Amino acid sequence: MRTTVKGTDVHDVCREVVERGLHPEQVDVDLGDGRLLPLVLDDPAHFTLYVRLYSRALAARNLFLSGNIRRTLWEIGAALIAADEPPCFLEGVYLAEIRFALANAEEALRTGQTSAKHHGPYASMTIAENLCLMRLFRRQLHPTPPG
Amino acid sequence: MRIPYERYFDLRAIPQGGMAMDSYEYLSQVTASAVENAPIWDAHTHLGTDTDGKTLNAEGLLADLAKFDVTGAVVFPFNDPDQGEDFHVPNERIFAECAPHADRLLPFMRLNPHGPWEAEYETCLARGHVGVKLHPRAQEFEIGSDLVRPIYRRAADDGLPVLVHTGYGMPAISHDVATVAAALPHLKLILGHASFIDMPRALRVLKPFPNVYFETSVVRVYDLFQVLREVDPSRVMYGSDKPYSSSTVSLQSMGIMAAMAGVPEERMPDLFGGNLLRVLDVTS
Repeated sequence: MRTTVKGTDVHDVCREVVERGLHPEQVDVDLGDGRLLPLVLDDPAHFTLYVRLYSRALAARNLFLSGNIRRTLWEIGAALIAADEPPCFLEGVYLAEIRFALANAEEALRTGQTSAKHHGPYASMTIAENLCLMRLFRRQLHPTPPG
Repeated sequence: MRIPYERYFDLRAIPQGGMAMDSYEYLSQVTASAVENAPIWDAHTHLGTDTDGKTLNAEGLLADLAKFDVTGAVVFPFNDPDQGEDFHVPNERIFAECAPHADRLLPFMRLNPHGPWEAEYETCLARGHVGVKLHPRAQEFEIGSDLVRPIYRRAADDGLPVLVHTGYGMPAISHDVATVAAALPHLKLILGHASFIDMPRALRVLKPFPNVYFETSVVRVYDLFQVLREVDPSRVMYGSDKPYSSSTVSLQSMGIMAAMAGVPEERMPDLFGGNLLRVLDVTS
């Protein structure tokens, strides 16, 4: 049985979920503008989302180091597309942060920081990788206790 | 049945309504005990200009530190185009930039072991630089080579910590670092970027050397997690690598991963600045 919680503030919604003792996977969020989003993704969808984004960021960084800037921008573009539409309410917060790091890398490349000696794009892409990994760590390191 | 909320979210890591993720308020929320109850010190920042075009001046650095209520930072030159043979010009410049903020910006000298480093070392020591920065990739030397050992020895004798780059572009270094640390047990050796090229072996090889510290800037979070799980918190130091990374991301990563790795809350202040201040013999 799913429960609908109304709200647009992620922190408030999550706090309400905790206070009411609801299971996050059984909550939908009514944003009040006609959209109804699941609060969180299930395990397979969560894993797919972040592995996709992580691999894009990783590929982009490696392509950058190899000097293939056109393909680097292609991978960043693909990651930005994949991070554009939050598939659930909660991840919207984290996807915005990832988009910001990727956009920083893209901007640096477009302004000529294209050599492997340029540490800025490398750092931004590493940050994007780390943000994906932190989401994977959270889900993976706290497995549901048996029973 | 207990609901495992921690698998999905940590209320501390979700920004409250209207709160920007790159704000001090958010940082304070993520790392409450550390940033509110103890000073934050950044072990890795640059001032000046790099050959890659990046620049940062003291004003910009202080603005970033202020935004996140970071008390102060270790500062050293970039791989500056004006480095010459001995980094004399950039060392002088960054010291002058730090001088008006001497209680917050702590200058390290950058040295090139291929150049006439002895004279520059003496100049910087007399001027008041409080540590040494070495970059084996940029200055093209091996971390344990005979060329650089006299610098380690001299810094150890003078009680100055040495921060050595062990990140991007480096080969495996843990055995060389172990050799240096064993030969100079009074050397305070800070591994910039926590030797990520050599993980996880570095943790096993370097564990017996309490004079080796792991600085965490631009480290992938799986390496950061392992460092925080396996290294005593007294040997881990927060660093940002500004301007290449920001205080926001670096502090968030440290706070979130330290919590996940099970670092006790009372040890968090050590990670965020306490260890650095002890190594520098500074009372904040």
